[in-house]
Amino acid sequence: MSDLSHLNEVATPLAERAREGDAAAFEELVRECHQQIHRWALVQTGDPDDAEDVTQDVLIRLHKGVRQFRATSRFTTWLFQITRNTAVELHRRRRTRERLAARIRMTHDTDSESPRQPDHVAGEHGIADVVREFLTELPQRQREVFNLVDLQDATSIEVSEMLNMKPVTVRANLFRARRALRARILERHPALAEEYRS
Amino acid sequence: MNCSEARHRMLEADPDELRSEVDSPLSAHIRSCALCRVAADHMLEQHQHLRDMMAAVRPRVSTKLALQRAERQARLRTRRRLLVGLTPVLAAAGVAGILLVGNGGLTTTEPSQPIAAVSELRQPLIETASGQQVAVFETDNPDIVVVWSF
Repeated sequence: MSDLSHLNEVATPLAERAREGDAAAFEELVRECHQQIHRWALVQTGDPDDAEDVTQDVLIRLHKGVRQFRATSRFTTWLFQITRNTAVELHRRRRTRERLAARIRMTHDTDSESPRQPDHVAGEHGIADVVREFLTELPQRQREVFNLVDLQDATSIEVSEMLNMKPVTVRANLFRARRALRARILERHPALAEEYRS
Repeated sequence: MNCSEARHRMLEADPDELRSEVDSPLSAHIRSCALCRVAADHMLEQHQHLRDMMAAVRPRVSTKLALQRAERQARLRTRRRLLVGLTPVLAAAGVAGILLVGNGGLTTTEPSQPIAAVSELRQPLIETASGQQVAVFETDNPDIVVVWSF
């Protein structure tokens, strides 16, 4: 059974009890989902700090939104959509703020701290090369698909529902993600890189 | 299949195929070619590494603390929303209070005209979108009428 199927089995009855106002069930639900939400948030934002913010915001939304959960859809699909929407909103807020900050910088022509480099993800948090490449070099859509299919063993039906995407598009994104990551993996292997170049 | 084709296909292949667990031309080539097997093994190893690393990523904040924050924030947001909803009503009440004080209060000897008097003007004073509410206040100056829509 995949991680997501397991989470679905455990979380659906908890969400139904939480919807009826059972506080203990809600606590248990958060305990079950917290890490998963954070993982999705990390995949979507590509940044550990943003992932923390998104995770916290998702929990706030979950607190209120669990009353609207209907077991007609998979719990994981519903939770994924909330996480995704929250990440998109955070990104939009950040972009607006950055644009405003850039305008202020241009106006005042002052030196400001240098923008965050992608290495921030690896350097500060000790994440290995392959993870850094996964988080910083793949486009968001490819990251999401690769994470769900190849790292979390979700079925293509689940992924199609979660991402609201046709199965053929899921496959196309998966192949692009694999191609990009594996090409980099081979480049880093000294013997193989040499052999494959010849 | 030659090595060049195999390398090309390996980049997109399913892990089962890289492990030579399925019956396919690529799997057969990987089984028979040492160099391509090394490449496939290396990809699988890195894939597993990525899988393990991502599974090990944990939020910095403990679940207990995150839950407490979420509950507190949810309560605050509810209060804020309630306050925002009440703002027009409070503002209208404030304006009414100021006007009443300006007119000497409710016990003034010359009470202000009732609101209905405004409707006796030559034509409708304002038009609002449906669902909007309007409060109209007269002032001491007959040329000035305060219209509050909310």
